[in-house]
Amino acid sequence: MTLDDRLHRAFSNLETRVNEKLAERPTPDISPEPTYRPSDRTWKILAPIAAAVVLLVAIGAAALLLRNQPDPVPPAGEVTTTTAAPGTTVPPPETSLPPTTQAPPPTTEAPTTTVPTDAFPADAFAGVTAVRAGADGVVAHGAGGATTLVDAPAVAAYHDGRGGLVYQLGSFEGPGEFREILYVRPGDVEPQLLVLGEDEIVRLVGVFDVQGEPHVAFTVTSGSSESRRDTLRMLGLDTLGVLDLGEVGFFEVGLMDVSVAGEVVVIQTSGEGIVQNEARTLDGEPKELLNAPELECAFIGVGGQECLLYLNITDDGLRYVAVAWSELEGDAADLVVIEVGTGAEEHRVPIGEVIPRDVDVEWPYVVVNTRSDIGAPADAYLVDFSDPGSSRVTALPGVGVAGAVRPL
Amino acid sequence: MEHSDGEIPVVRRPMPFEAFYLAEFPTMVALACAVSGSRLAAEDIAQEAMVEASKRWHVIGTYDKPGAWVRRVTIQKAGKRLRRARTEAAALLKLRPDDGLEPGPPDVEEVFDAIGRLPARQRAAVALHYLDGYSVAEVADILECAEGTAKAHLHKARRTLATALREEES
Repeated sequence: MTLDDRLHRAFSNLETRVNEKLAERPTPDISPEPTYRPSDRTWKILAPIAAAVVLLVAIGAAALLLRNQPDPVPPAGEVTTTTAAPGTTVPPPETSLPPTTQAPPPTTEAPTTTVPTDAFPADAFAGVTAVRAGADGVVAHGAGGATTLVDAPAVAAYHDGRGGLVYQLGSFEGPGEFREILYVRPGDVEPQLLVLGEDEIVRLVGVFDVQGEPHVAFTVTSGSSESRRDTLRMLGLDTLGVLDLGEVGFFEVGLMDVSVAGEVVVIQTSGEGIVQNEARTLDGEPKELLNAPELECAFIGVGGQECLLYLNITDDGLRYVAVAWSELEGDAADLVVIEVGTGAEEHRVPIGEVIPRDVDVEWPYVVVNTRSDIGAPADAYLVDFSDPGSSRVTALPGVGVAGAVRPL
Repeated sequence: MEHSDGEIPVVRRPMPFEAFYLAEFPTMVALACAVSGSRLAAEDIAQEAMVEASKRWHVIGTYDKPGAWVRRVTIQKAGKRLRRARTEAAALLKLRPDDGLEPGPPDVEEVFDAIGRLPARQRAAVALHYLDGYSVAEVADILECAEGTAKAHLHKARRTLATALREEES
C-alpha cells in the first residue's frame, strides 16, 4: 500500500467514525437566536418622545456652540499639504492628533502622558524604542512610558527617521476597514494625507530610505477576489514621487531592505518562511541580485521546527540577521536571531503566533507582533538585544501592530 | 462608495447557516481531530469555529468559499488546543468517558500518531489535502500562505510520514 493510499484510507476512516458518532446524537438546534425588534406599537409610543429629546439636544448644542465660539484657526490649506498618491481620492482634511485634554490609555508600564501641544512635538520620539498602532491610536513606548501620538484607531505606524510619523487609520476588523495613510511632521497641526484607497485596499508596509529620501511603502489591492491584483508602491516623503515596484502577493508580509544603489530588495514572507527574495529596480523591473544572497523559502536548521520569518541584509551584502520562531511550547515561542558569523541567540517570547519585524545588526531591538486566533493582532513584545548577556523581553501595553524606532 | 460606469453592485445573500452547519460540521470535527490530535477535543474545537462563523455569518455567508474561512479558524483553534491537549486529555476522559470518537483500526491510528508528530502547519496541510481533497493552491489559500509554502509543507510532511510509517512497519 502506498503512502497516499494509507493517508486516504486513514482520513476516510476518520470521517466515517465522525459521521457515525454524530449520527448517534439528536440534531442540535442551531437556529439563530431571536433578535429584539421593537413592535409597531412600541415605535408609536417611543417616536414622539425620541423626536422631542433629539430636538432639545440640538437646541442645547447650538446654544453651547454660540457661547463657546473658538478663536479663528488658519484654514487647513495653510498648515496642511493635502496630497494623495495617483489613483486615489483626496478626502476633506482630517485632524487625528489627540486633543490636549485627552485622557491617556491605561498601561501597565510607566504612567501615560498625552502630547501637551496642538502641534506634533519635535521630541515625540525622544527615548522611544517602539511605536504601536491599535484601537487606542498610535502610542509611542519608551523609557518615559507610553505617549499617545494619534488619538484615532490605527492599523500601522512608522517613524520617518527624522521625527515625523507615518500612520494608517482603520481597524483590524478586516482589510476593508483599512483607511487612509497620513503623515505628520514636527510642528504640523494637522496631518498630511498621503494615500487614500477608495476602490482599493491599501496597506502601509513601512518607511524606508531610498537614496537618502524616506519613502512610504504600501501595497494596493484592486479587483475582485477572482481578478485580485496587488502592487507594491513607494511614495517619497519629500518629492511625493511615486515608485511602482510591481506585483506582490496579498497574504505575504512584504518586508524590504532598500539599497542605496537604485534597487530595492523585496522580501515576501508567508508567516512560515521566505516566499520570494528578489531585487527590483525602482521601476519595478526584476534585477539580478547583487547585494543580497539568493534565498529560497528557508526553513533554518537550528534545533527543531523553526521557520525563517524575517531577514535583513546590510548594504555591504555580507551580513544578515534572521529571525525565526521554533515550535511553540505552552504559551511561549523561541525566537531565534542569527547574525552570520556570530552564531545564533535564542530568546523566549511569550504567547503564540509571532511576527518579528524591525531588526537590524546596528539597532538592538526586535519588535515581535503576535496574532490572535482569528488572525487579528494581539500583544506586541520588544526584545532587547543591546546587552547580549542579559537581553530581555518586554510586553508593550495594549494590543496592536508595533515597529521599532531608531534614535534620530 | 461610488461605482463607475453605472455598474450596479451585486448584493450577495448568505446561504442559510443551518444548511452550512449540517454540511460542514462533520468534516470540521475530522479536521480538528487530525490537527489537534485529540479525539476528545475535536468536537469542541469544531463547535467553537462554527460559533465564530455564526456570529459573523452575515459577512462570511456571502464569501465565495465560507468553508475555507471555517477551516482556517478550526485549524487555528486546533493548533492552540494541541498544546493543551495532553494535559486536558486525562481530565476529559474522567469527565466524559463516552464523548470522544472511538479509536480507529491499529493501522489507521499509526497514521494519525505519525501525523500528530508533524509541525502544526504540516499537519493542517496534510489534513486539508487528504481529508478535503484540496489542491495545493486551495491549501495555500486556507493557510494564508504562498503556494510554494503549502507545497513545501506537504512535501516535508509526506517525507516525514513515509519515513515514520516505514519504520513502524519494519
